[in-house]
Amino acid sequence: MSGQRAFNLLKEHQQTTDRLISNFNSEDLRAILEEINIAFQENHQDALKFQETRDKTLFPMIGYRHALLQRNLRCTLAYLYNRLMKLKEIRWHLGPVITPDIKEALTEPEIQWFNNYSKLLTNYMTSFPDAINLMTDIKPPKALFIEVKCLIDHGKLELENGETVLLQRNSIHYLPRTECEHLIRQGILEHISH
Amino acid sequence: MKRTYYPNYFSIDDIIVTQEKIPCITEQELSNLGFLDQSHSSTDLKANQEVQLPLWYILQVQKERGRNQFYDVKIPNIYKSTYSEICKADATAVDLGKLNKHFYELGRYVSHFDRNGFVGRMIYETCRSRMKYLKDLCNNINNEQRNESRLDHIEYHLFLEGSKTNKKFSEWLQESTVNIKTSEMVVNHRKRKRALMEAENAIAGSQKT
Amino acid sequence: MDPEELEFVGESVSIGIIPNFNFDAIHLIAGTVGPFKAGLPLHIPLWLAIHLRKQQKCRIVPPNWMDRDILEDKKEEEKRVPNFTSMPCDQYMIVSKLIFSHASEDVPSIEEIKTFIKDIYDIRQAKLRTAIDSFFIGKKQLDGATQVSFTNLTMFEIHTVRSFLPYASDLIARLERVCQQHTSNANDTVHSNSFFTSSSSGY
Repeated sequence: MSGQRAFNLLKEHQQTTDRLISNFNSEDLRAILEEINIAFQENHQDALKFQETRDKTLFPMIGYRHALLQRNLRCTLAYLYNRLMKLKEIRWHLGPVITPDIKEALTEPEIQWFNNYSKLLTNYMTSFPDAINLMTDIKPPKALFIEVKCLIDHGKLELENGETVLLQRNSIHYLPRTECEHLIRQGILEHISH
Repeated sequence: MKRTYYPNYFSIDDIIVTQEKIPCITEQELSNLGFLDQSHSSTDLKANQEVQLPLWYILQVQKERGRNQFYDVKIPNIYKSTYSEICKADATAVDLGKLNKHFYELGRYVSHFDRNGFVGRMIYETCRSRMKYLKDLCNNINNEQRNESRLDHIEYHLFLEGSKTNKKFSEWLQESTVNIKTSEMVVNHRKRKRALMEAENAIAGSQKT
Repeated sequence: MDPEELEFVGESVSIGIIPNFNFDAIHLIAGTVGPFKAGLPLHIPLWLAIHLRKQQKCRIVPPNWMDRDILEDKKEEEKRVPNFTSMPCDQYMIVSKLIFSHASEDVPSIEEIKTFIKDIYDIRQAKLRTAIDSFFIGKKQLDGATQVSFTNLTMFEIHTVRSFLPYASDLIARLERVCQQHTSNANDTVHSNSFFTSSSSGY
């Protein structure tokens, strides 16, 4: 009856730092929805009672339940909304493929939303005559080829010219910018300046 | 975060601010609301009883009932005159983070209940005189000894933006910029993960010995 | 904007070069460059000039203002005048940095020029900081506004404070509105005993 649970749910979302997104907490969500339902039912009954008795002492409690109900609703919607915004951010930073550990934290509708958003973005980008990729050239490009250092063992990378490069930890490569920019953004490669 | 703070319905920051408890005095007996005061176990709240109520509730009561009030809302201690005297003397020295992480925003809400307009004036003056200090703090990018915890939440985000920009420009002037960087999201995520793993290892290590 | 983006914008200014090769005119979206005749000076966009210079295909002709005497006068003027003076080139920081780092041999007495430009930039940055300080805590005029002149500030300089100043002012304005609202409400509720009338509107 204090709205604390809904608030904690939101806190849980905000304070998750060891992973990109917290596990969808369906258990708490269900309990909060139940709290909203109960508050609504009780207010409904008290309203009926008031019609019979004109008992004004019912007012304070009805007022409180009403406020609580709205508060719970706000926290819950904010929880759902801010999770989606997080997914949007993930799409822009990490690309269209969600890793298994992120996928695990999501509900089916959220995965659906992510895929739809991703599709929408791709459609938009390919709608231009030369299919602009908004994820590349975040900064004005300077050179066609850049020198990069590999930060983790990533395996083989096949280039557009058919050549394959083995990305091993601490190895240094000279690669076409367009083909390795996303790997730098994902933290697999590091751009070395001179 | 958007650098201009105009919270909407979904704003987590605004929800956190409105979770704060504010001291109130009941103006009449309120049936069945006894549970709001945890120090008493009675079913009802009596008239003239002091009780700490969450801001979201008070705001709703105010909205629904207008003049016909259940509660007389008090000004929280952190906005009382003693504190404002400190602020006037040297606002930059005040540890706002310690008073309340959302000093300005909470103050904005509290000022609705303040007859004298005192709280509103105080947060405005405090903010104005601290801004120069905040700006200097942003310029001080090499200084490792930081006082971020002394900042209000909004001040802190301004500080992050300001110092990030200053860092970028000084790097550019010194020609040490790298064109493409790892996404901030990934960097932060890695950092936290590493810190967490180190902490876990430390705990595991201490348990073994 | 980030410095890299500002550099990109600044790179489109025109600069004189003396090519050491022959080539036909190149037709680009932004206009035609060339034709190139060895030894014959022409104006081309800075980004292309730097690109050619890197490959030793040309010599860059420094802009007129990149001159010891002019810059020395400029520095004195900047020191003397309280407001920002008008710079000979709106992209002076970008042009200087690119030329200094890629074509330093093409500029006579480069070290002195470097120092002058750095001094001018520092003086202007100091002025900017003072201007902002007085913007935050300065005395208000009769109409309640604080006034600071940013005329002649170049794009690069504006962006050094662009991510802070407007948002800081926004926060101040947000809190100022709380005060103002109170003053305007207080007038008509002075005699009322009700606690909430003075603040119930608008929220």
